[in-house]
Amino acid sequence: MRNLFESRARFLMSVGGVALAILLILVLDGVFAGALKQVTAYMDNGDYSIMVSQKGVKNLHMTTSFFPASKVQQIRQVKGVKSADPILYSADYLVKGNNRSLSYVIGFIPGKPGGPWTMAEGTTRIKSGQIIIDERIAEKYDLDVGDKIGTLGRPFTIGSLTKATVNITNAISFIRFDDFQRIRNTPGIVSYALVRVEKGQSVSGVIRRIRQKVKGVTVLTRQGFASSERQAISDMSVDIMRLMNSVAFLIGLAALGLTVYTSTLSKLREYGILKAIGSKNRKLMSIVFQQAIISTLIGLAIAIVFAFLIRYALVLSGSNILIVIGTPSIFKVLIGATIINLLSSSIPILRIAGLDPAEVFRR
Amino acid sequence: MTETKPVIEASGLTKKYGEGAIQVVALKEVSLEVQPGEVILIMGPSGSGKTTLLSILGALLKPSSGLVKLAGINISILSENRLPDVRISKLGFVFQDFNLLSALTVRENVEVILNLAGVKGKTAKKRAEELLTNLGLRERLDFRPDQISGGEKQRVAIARALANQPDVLLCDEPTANLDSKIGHDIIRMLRKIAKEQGKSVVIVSHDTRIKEHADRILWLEDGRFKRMTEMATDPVCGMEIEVANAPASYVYEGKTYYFCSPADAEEFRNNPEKYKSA
Repeated sequence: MRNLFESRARFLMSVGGVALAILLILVLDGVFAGALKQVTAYMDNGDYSIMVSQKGVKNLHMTTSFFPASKVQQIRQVKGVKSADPILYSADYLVKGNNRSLSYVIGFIPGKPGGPWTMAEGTTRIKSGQIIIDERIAEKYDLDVGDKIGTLGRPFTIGSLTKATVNITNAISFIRFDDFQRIRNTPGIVSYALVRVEKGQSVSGVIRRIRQKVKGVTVLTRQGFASSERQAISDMSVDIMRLMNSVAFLIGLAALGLTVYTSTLSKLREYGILKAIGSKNRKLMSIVFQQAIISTLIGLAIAIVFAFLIRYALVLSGSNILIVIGTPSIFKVLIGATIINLLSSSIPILRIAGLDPAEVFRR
Repeated sequence: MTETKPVIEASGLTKKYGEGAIQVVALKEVSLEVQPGEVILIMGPSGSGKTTLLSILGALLKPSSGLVKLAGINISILSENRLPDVRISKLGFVFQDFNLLSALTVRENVEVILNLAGVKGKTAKKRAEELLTNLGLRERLDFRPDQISGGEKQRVAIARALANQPDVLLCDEPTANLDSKIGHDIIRMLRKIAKEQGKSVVIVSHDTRIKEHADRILWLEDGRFKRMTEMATDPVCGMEIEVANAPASYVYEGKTYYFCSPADAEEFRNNPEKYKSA
């Protein structure tokens, strides 16, 4: 233990390297988890239990869903359904001058499910020709309620502002259902139906009955739809996340491995002395291993503190990036840190095991 | 009269390094017995096998043939993984370079050896303090090795060697890095420990000043103990030489001086006053 702290510069480098690596893994994981949380914000905050979409469509991202509005009427007839309200959906850009921001554009019926859930300014009951955008988009383009912004090829007047409808890739904007229908010229077509269940009815029972009675649609719980959305995003990003996590892991391994190795080498003679005097290999190996564990744990603690600091700094700066540091992330870095530990200790341990105690008498 | 059993019984020790044409025989059929409380000084030229012998007696090296009994235990037949237990309980080591652990305090350097033998906590701390106090290091307990003198370092090393109450102290050139007075004090301390505590002390050294403190002096040369002939110190270069085989000698003021070369004798003759007290 004292050996570890004897050279402060070396100790700081080691702990710093490990902390940096773990921080990288934690932040990457956190950004990813935050992005997943943000992309399902629309589903997570809806005042409905079931989402019905075109057959085979299970998410919003990079999909289109259209089915006849008559099916919404059929859904309303199903036992246990309290209400079924249509929305129209398209991915498009919010255009202000030469600036463009990707946005999910939702056409909803004011007063019904499918609209914004937290308002920064104004209400959800917008008039025809109005749009609700996120306050951060408004801030970004220096816009306010009453100003114009374009989407779906038409100019809209900003009627209200929402909160928390911007994620790492896009924003969510809301226009009236009838405006959407008119612009796209799709009478009798809806994208999704949002279903509320009567009190005392089980969601699974209602889903089963809708599936039986309404053909050509996919019926999922709101949570199931959100989960499917997360899975789609996750599948698209998993390789790059793995790659970046591997890089972070290698940085940590190199930092700790090099430090434990140089620290052991610099004390090799002292390990030899202890061995000559009567210490067993097992004891000396445990010393090296303990040093690696202490470095890793301190590095881990520093990384967690810094990850939370970065998270709050992003919140304070109004960034679109949300970092979510959950138990799975911490558990994952703990496993990573343990592997780094084992690997970085192994070479010095082998070196000590091969040390000839009689060397102490040779000069 | 009661007969005491030797603490070290070594017989027919041979150690060979390498094989075939490059084989070196470091020890040839060496036998040795050391009694409790005895101070043995092993001398000899460089490459004579002293370090190899010390390593074998210290259970650090296995002989190619022959056996070593340490406090009745035949360590030559013990497996490698049992030797550390013998070293920690039966042997104490004192090295030329002190070999203290630089990151630990004086007290911790002794405690760590007690810990290795299973003595922990306050008991280890108390025992370390007692040993260090007895060796005059009470005021240095919390100092680190780089904060104390060479003589103090060697006393810490002796305290460490005594920590687990071993039967034998093996000392490798214990005075080599110390000035004359401190070296003298250290050897007197080792002799006192041998006589008062009944420890056997085996010292390997080139330092002729130790001779007067040893109960027995053994001369190791070419891997064998040789009959201890009368030895003299060349007053010019300080080397130990056999009187019978001295290349040159010179009588000055009624005393005969022996030299390792005629050149040294010539230098002495030119200025005997300068060298006669050496």
